[in-house]
Amino acid sequence: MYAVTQLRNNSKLLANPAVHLFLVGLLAASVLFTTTGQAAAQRPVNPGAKKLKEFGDRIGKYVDLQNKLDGRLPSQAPSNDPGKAEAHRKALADAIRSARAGARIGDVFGDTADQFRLIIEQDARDRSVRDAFAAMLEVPKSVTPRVNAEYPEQAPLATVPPLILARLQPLPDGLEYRFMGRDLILRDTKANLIVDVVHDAVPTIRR
Amino acid sequence: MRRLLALPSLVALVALVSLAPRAQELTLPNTADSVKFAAMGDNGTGDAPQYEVAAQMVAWHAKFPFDTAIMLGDNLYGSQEPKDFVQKFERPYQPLLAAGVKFYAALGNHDNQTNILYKPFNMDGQRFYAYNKKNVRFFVLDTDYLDPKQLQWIETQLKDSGADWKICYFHHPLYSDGGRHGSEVDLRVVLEPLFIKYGVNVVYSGHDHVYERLKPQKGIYYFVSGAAGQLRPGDLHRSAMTAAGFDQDRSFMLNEVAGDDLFFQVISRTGKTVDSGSIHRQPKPPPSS
Repeated sequence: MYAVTQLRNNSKLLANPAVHLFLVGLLAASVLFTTTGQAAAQRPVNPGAKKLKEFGDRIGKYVDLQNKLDGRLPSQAPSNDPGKAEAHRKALADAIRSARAGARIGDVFGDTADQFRLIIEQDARDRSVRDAFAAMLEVPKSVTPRVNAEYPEQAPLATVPPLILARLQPLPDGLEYRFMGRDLILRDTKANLIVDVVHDAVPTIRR
Repeated sequence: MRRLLALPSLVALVALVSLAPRAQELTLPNTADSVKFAAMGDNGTGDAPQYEVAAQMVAWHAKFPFDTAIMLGDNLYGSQEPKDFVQKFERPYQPLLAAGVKFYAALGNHDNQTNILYKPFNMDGQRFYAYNKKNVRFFVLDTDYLDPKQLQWIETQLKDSGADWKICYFHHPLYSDGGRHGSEVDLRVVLEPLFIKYGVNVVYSGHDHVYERLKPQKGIYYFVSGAAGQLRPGDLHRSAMTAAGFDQDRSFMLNEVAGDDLFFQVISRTGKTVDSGSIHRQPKPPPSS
């Protein structure tokens, strides 16, 4: 059950692009440069940035695998038969599942999970309660996401608020972020598979 | 005395006679060279009301031969097997498809993403795309997932377009008085500045299962038309930004761009006109640097 906690009613403030830009900048700075003063003086490897780079590398490897397996299937073109696209998707999903049979939670997000939680928590703080509930209204809640499982076939693909997307690490074509319950998932858009999960990414919210 | 008593009945009868045909009348100019299109959202239930709205679309097509239908998302609900495309799309709109009407779909939160490959939706395998109809350019967005890449795309598209009319459509409304969802503030924060900067004229959305015409917001006209299959009766909570609305039955829109004017007429499931009017094209914004 979604919880709503500590959200201030500041949607008017949030609606101001300048304020939003400032918040995004502030957050990016806090994530990427947690030791700004030292970094400027000594240029050490920033642990946050290093983790995100490694996350990007793992994303790249996943997409390489996805493209390789997709390339083995007949190419797709728009068709009057919607069954063709679905058959292609299923074949790709089977191939990816087989190739990642041993995949576990955290294989892709790795040790960035807390950084994602922090970004989403910050976003929740910036929203009004109404906005926070609206964002989560149609998120599927009854299914616990599992790696290599399909995103529930008839569940709506609830919108991921664009202001959150602007704060998260960009993803290449073929992957996207979605919420399931309070969890953040990486979803393979070509195969409709759950690639990885950050549990409890959405903070508890109270009305 | 008897004459006096009969008078109200006579007035009522005259009113009925004069109103009934008007309700079925086309209020659009229906000129030869105009851009004519229907708009519908949240239609794909496969249930009887969707078929009844579709039958109205077919009937009105005979009077107003639109060649384009824009789909505002949630084009199919629930199961999306091949048989569902027949039940929820091909069968109800078969007469329109047979007449050569082209449907251009936007994705809603209930649509499978693989539907971009379904040829009759004319998406050409893209989540977001644009196309021309004479002096109108339509921009279709996927607001289920408006990532920075898509934002960059729409900015470039809007900037590069010199079309007389720029019309955007997508599933989630930037402005809505629907009780279930209402305005999507996040989308508004990122899209509205682009719409203003690059001179978008009109925006169509669905998602809330009502019809609403908004008063111009920062110079842009917004319609919510999300009741071509689904309906939430009484869910329109009119506010100061509501220009007109209808939430008692399902509906769809007829639209006509003729020169510098866009005319619209909103038809209910029973064929009644529930809103109509026209929009004069706004001046183009000065070229941006």
